[in-house]
Amino acid sequence: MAFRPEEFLEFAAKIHAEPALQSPAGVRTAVSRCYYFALLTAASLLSRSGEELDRSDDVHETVARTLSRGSKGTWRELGDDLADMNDLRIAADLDAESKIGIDTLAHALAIARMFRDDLVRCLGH
Amino acid sequence: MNQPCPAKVLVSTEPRLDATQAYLWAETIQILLPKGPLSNCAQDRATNTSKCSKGVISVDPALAARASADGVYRGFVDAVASACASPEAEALEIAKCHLAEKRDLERHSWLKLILRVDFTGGDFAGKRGRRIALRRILDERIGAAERESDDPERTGEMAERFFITVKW
Repeated sequence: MAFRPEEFLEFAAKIHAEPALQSPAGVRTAVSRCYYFALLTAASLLSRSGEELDRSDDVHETVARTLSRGSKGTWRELGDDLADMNDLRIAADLDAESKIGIDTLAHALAIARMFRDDLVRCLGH
Repeated sequence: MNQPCPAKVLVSTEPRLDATQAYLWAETIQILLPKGPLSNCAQDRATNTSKCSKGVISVDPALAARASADGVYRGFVDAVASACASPEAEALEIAKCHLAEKRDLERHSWLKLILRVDFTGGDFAGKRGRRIALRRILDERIGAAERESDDPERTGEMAERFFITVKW
């Protein structure tokens, strides 16, 4: 059975809700998972909507570009959402000096949820 | 009738800029942009008395150098700078924004252009709403730049790979 990307969001929400789980590693992992939830959800919905994703290119760039060139109103804004979450993900995963706290996770969760809602609305699934 | 003065990017007569020249060129963009807040910003920096105010855009030196040598890049950067300095964008209370390009150093390819925006105050939903409004302003200017471009296909490619991120 295929993995449900929504589990990443649920995992991140659990970290956000439970102080005992909010170690630096836990919070950083949760921020990163918010992005991957968004990426996988977008890739899946775009494919189901008939969008051709160029698999030969970097998946991060491919999904962002597909959203960016979309013609259904708010797609370009969804590309910006994804870029925002990717920035947070890169800081959480790759930059030990960056300040990643519970506020960062709250933002990542909020963007991810709005992104999901807008994506469903735009793509009609 | 008073028309808003379009922001213009300084075009160097030199074919290429070294890193220092490119930095100065990028700095100059801020001063050339029209309207009060940017002038105030230059004055503030000179007197070192307070922070820059609204509508300030800066450009990464590497991108500035590229734009100085490439008319298509220059047209795109010009459109972004112009949009950020417009009265409509000013109303969104932008504290500052920075335009940079991201390259894949392993594959020697260009990945995307990122405009990093720092809005003054506001909560999460408010900032996201302002980012969406800024996106519409930018898309309008970029669309015009695409129509006027010597190479609309390349400008269109840049538009597809142009993203706005927010300092939350």
